[in-house]
Amino acid sequence: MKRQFLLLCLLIAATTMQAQEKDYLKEPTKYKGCHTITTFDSTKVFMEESGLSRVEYHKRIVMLDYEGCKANSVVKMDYDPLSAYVEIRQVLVHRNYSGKTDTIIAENGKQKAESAVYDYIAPARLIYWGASQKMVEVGHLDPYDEVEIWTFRKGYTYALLSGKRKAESGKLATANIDAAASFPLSAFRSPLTDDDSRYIPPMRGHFYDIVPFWSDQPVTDKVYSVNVLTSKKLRFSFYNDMTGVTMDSTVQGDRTIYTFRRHDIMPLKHEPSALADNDMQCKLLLSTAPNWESKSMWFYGVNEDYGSFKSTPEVTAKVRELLAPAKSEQDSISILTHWVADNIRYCGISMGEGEGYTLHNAEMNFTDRCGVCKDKAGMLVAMLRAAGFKSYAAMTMAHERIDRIPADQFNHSVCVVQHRNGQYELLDPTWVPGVRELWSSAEQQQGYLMGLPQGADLMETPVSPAENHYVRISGTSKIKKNGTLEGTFTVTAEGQSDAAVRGVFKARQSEWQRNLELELLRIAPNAVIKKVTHTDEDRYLEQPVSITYKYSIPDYAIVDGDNIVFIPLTARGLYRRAMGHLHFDTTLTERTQPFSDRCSRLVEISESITLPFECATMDYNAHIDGVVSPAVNYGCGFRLDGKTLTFGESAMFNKRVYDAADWPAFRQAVANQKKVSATPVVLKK
Amino acid sequence: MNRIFKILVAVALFSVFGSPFSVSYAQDAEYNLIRRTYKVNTDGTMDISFRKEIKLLRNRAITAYADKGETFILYNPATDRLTINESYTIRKDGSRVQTPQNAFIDQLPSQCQDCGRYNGIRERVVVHTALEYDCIIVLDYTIHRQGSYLDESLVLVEDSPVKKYEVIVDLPKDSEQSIGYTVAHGDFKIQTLKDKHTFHQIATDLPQRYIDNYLPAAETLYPTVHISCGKRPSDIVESSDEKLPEAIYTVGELHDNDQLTYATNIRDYVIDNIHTTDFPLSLVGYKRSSAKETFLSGCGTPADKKRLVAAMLREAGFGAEEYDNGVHVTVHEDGRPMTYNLSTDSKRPARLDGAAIDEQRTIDISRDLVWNGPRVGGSYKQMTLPTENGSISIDPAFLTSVRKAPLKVRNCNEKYHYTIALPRTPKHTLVKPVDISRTEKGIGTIRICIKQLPTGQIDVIRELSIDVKDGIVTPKQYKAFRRMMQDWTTYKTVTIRAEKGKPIIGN
Repeated sequence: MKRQFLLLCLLIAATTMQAQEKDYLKEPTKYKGCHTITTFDSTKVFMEESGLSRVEYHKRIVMLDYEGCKANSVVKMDYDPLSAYVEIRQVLVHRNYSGKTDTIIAENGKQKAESAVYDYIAPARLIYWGASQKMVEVGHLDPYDEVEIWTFRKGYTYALLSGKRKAESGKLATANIDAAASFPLSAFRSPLTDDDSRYIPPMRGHFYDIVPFWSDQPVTDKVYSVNVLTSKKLRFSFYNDMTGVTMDSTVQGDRTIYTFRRHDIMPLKHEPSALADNDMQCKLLLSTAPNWESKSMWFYGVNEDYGSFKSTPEVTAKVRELLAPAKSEQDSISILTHWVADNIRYCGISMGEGEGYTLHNAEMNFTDRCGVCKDKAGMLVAMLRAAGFKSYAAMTMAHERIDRIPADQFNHSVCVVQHRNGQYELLDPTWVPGVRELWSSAEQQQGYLMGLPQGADLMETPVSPAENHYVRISGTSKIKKNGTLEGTFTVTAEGQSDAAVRGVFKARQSEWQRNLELELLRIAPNAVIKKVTHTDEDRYLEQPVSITYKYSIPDYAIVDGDNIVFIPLTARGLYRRAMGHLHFDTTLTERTQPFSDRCSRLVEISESITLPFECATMDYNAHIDGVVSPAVNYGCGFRLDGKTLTFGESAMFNKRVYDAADWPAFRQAVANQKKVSATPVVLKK
Repeated sequence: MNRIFKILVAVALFSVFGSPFSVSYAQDAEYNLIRRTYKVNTDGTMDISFRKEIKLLRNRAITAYADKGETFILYNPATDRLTINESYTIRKDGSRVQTPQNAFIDQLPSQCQDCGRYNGIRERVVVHTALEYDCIIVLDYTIHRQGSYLDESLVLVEDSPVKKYEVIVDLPKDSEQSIGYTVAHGDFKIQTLKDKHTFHQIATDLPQRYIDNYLPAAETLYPTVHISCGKRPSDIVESSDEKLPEAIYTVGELHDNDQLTYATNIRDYVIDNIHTTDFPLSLVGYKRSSAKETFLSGCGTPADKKRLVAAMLREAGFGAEEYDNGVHVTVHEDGRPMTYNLSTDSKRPARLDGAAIDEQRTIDISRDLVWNGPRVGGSYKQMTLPTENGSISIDPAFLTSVRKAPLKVRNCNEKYHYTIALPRTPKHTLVKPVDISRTEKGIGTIRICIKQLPTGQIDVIRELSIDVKDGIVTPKQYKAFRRMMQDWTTYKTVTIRAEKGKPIIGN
């Protein structure tokens, strides 16, 4: 083993010397904790008159540790064969220890005998559209090995999928940076022999892209070039942090080449519950569409032309059946929205051509009883129209900002209905199964675009008042002389808080009893639950949730002569599942990044406790300051009246998306509630 | 040899507790039938068939957690031919909706996505359509497989109750075969039929899978059938001296002067940095890849990874030999060879081969503590006693009042004796001394004594001895065990009061 070890030492010494010559190792502390460095990352786009785009990527990545090696042991490209074509053109591995270069995929996609480009339908859950993937196995890597990749794509990807959107650009990289400023059409080799028309985007003649100029690993140089007909009037803008960004443009005949570049991209250290990267970090939006109105009209047209909303006799009959008990316009809207929410299962199968941006027609949805968000929205539009409403589909971006450049920043599709008074109302049948809302307030402060015949501008959903999402816990209890606490408490809630409390029922019915019991046992493991009653979960639309516990907890309080020491049970964080703010880490004293909670929220807790004897004084070993601010309010108090102690606490969180400047008030309110949940009151005769 | 045997595992009868819940909760879905058929043919092939008929009884079984809405069938097109015999939904009105063609998708299973050599394996997704209240999903398929070696273990349980669960096995008469089954006691019936099949068992009224914490292994909870037939393919047995010169650089990077640490580093490297591609080995004829293939590709099955660990250890100069759960590695300590068991599926510390396993873990701690509890209000201070390493890890917050399932616990014998010195001034008095001493027959003993000594110090004795058969608390024992765990947790806090008239200053 000794000889072997000497050999290893020599090998390591040699490879370390080689690694030390690299520029990126001149600042080792700068890259501490990073797994890779991308030394260059370039994308070259050539847009044709039809809107068809051909894209070349070239990227070189240095492995810094074994975690980076593992992450890069395969190269993958996602694509939808119905609308895009991709190639993994060349893959090289520059070995650090030997100084040799291994060709995994040779130029022009030629494979080594033991290598292969695998092409298959990508693993999926819930959305089975046949989205494909090409993969090359790079295999074993060691730190300081470098992987160099050339890939090509033509066509487009359009998927209205909540939370499933992939940032197509920037995911894999492209071309030679030096050559990026000028490239002719011939630079884009396209081996296709069949008709390219299927790669032309549905909004024909237009191009858009969303380019993240950020990365979760360091990138020393990133460049994105796009070659467009000057007549197409490309609109573009960088957003958020623009440090190190440069841009120039060159006119070549009837075309203009725009080149965007950023050096020294370092990963952002995220503060907890921060917003999406695209809302905080440098991104580039580009679009040839003149405005949002044009997108709105296109979206309206593409679905009307397909006939997405055409009712069938079966659908019309179902609408009649469902609306028989409806008493008002709003009643009808609610019945249909919740029927679609609860009866069209979220699961997507492909309709073939047009999948991703065309809403399945009513016949398919009604027969299959399944679909993704756009299909659920389409089903609701069809049913509302069958009921005589004016209704349209709309697009939105769940939990990410939509900026003004009309690039399609959408990952979710919803529905709008026009009331008799002309007002539009948003409906989201995807996000409200089992929720007493028509539009999920977890989507407040969110951009959306209605697909209307006359067009519409980008809009934003308003803040939903905290009162609409109250969670109330009220209790009465009695402390016995032996310290046993007996009593009842009731949890009621509305809106998104109602949905959160109902989380105990979001499981098989056989698990409900256990879930209900665990809510109390988590606070008091020795609690004896005497009775639990609750509202009928299957009739959730009829009333807000209400769950009442009757309990007894031995040895809960310390009754010590003339003193009583205890924490009011209702203060201790019962049903934390409905108080997302309690999961925030309040040790962070300052924030620089905006943050978000699930929803605005009002918390009201009260308890009346009967004591074993009259008390005259109370000691509380915590100083709780009230919080008053536009974003958050908090207050709490105790009142001692002979044999009765009354406890009350109220916290109001007024938004879903908060500025960093809101943090001190938010933090104080959360810290207060946590402190109250852990601080006993000491009462004295 | 045709050998059929059965093992009856007696699990104590379920206890019946009164329920405080006024509502009785119904089921969301129920299987009318599950049938699994294994037929080994004489031409070196086999047919594996599956049929299910499930009735959806509630909306949530359809929408909220649509886990009944799709079926996933793993197969390997290189050796398997998958045929969907029937797939349709019977709606409440009796009409039958065939599953449409676009609802069958052949995709790569996610576990194979980082591994080229297993890229041929496929997952057929069947999206069941037309789901509504009281509908019945019917799916029937057969996999015709090139291969005659069968090694299956079927646990007869689902996450919804099953009215009828049928297992049929047909094996060639002259084959080397073994079929066994274990039966856990419950409110269900099991019948083994003597008919034309090699093995034919029907279980009826099977309850759904338990959802409790601290469950023992599934095979001890539910009826289980083990089937094996044929000889293991010879190529699954590899040479035990495989080395890996390709890994010399990587092995060097992991070097440590302490040999056991070095060996552990190699094991950890494989666990952390080789993608795990986990699927039933029957899909690849129970074959394993060579260590070289696994190392150079950066991916492999758990069995491939174990083989790689052994080869890398040998490359590093260690003696290494595979066993069921890991690798025996020989290191030199003070010049003497010592063999350790190194798990390859988790980063558990290496254990000396042959070392006795402490069946009833023993902890005996006696030490002095200095009071470190803060003031909680008035004249009161509270201190939580320390949690010692290795102490029992049952959290009573997860022990609900009613439990039908057995509970898995590691037997223990824990003794703690603390003497806590209190602040000198002012004088403090212990509030609520504790004196609990109880023996629960067949379970163990608990003793908690918290008292103040004449010297003013607090004397704490906490003793817990759990000694249940096979580490299983039966439903009958559960109530007493739960109370022990509640007491063990509840009386872990000590409260003291400052002498009257002399309030505590500060925290």
